[in-house]
Amino acid sequence: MTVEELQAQLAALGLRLPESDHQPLLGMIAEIERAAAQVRHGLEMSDEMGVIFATDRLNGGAS
Amino acid sequence: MTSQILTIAEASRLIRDRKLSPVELTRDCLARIAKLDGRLHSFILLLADEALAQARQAEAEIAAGRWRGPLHGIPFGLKDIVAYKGHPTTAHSALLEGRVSPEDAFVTARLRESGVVFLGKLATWEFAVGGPSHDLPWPPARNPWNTEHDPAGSSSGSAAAVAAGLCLGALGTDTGGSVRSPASLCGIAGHKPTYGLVSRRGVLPLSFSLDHVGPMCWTTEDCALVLKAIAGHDPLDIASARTPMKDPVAGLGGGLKGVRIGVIRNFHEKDFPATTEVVAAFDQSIAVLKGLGASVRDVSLSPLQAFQSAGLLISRSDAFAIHGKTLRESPHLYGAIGRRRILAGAFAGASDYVNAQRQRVKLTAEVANVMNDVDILVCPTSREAAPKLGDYAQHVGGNTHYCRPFNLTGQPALSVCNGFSNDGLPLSLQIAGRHFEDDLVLHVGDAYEKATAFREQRPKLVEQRQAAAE
Repeated sequence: MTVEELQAQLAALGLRLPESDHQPLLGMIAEIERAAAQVRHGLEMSDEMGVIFATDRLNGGAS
Repeated sequence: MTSQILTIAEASRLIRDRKLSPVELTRDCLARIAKLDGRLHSFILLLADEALAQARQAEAEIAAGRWRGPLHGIPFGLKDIVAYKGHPTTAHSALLEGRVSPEDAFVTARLRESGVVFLGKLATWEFAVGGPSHDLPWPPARNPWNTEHDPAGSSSGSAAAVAAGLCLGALGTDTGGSVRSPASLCGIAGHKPTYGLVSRRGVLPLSFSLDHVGPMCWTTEDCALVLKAIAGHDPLDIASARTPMKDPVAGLGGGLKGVRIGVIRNFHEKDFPATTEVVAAFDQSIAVLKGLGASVRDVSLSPLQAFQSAGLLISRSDAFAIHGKTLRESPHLYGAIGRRRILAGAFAGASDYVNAQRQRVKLTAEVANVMNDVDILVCPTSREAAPKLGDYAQHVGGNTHYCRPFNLTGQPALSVCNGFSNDGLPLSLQIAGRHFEDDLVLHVGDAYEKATAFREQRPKLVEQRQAAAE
């Protein structure tokens, strides 16, 4: 993602940030993207595509 | 004035037997705060007069035969995301500066009932996520073992204050290691309970399904005493578990005969290698555990990155869900690090979050399967000793990397000191167990501490002051 793309996305989200945030935020976004790719990879490699999504955790219930 | 820093267990016996006054003990802590906290910055709100009043009340109650239990009259600190009625809860942020909590958090109320003396509110990373920052209303806390070094976070003030004897116990919170990581780098015991065991009502949230409230004390025994006071079902916390906790104090003492320990090696030997000092201390810890009677075998889990990725996506998404509105309205009231870390969550897609939760289910099942054959898992808490305070960008993720798996799975996990680096900085061992077996985790940590001499050594900063006082 470029700084210009970031600025456009931030504007779309209604967020206004100082310029000094842009480069560090790009690094953190890259970290998010790597995590997302890793998680997708982990699930694609799995035979357990029928793993049930733990709605209790989404709703805050204890296991 | 007492000539040594007492643990909660030690002070409690003396107080119960009326050989030590809570007022004297509180004055001792306040004197130590006055002498040391100008360098440590662990307290952001000190309530000296109120604490002394509470100490006098405790003294009067005990004199009248109304001893409430082992925490009665014990000086204590609260991480400043935990509400304390009538006082600000700021999360170390300009956004909440001066905002007064109308009610106690559940855990605060429990501690109040136990007769604790509240010394004040402790430094934290901004909103428990922001990292050590110099652009906030208060400076970051520093490591008492070397004040040029990071105490880690986010429960930075809690760890620093306990290590330096400024309070005998503190509460922290742990979303991705924020009790255990500062406990590790400050050489104290820090326990992340089973998810749902301790209510989060009245604690500012960071991640709904990853947040835990836990005790931070000099010893595991003290953590058990505090956990016993604060755990329990809260019908007003939707995540609060109904499963009763086995008494973590009754289970202390004795060896580890019959305890089966699984040693996780891939985290620190392959996935995110630890320093040679950490590895050496860890291997020595295994020998101690064997000597106590435990049976030990190596186990292997999925790569650390799998846990880290899922945990990052969940926590950042939750954080942005919580802070999105205020970030749009008042981004300037956040520190730079906190603002950026939370904002990154805006860029995680909904399906990424769903997939992270699915991976979480898989990983939790995997660990549960491994624990069919072992009772306890061990690994280092941190990959290295405390880095210098300015090295945040390089080091901060690394020091929490061995912790996050147990936030994801919700298992209880404890950090205890297991040695010191060549530079005199603490090293640590992480001990994890099955859900709701916090008592066994604490039993193992307590046995380990009592079989080693690491609890006899306090930071030089503190020992120098004690020597001067004598």
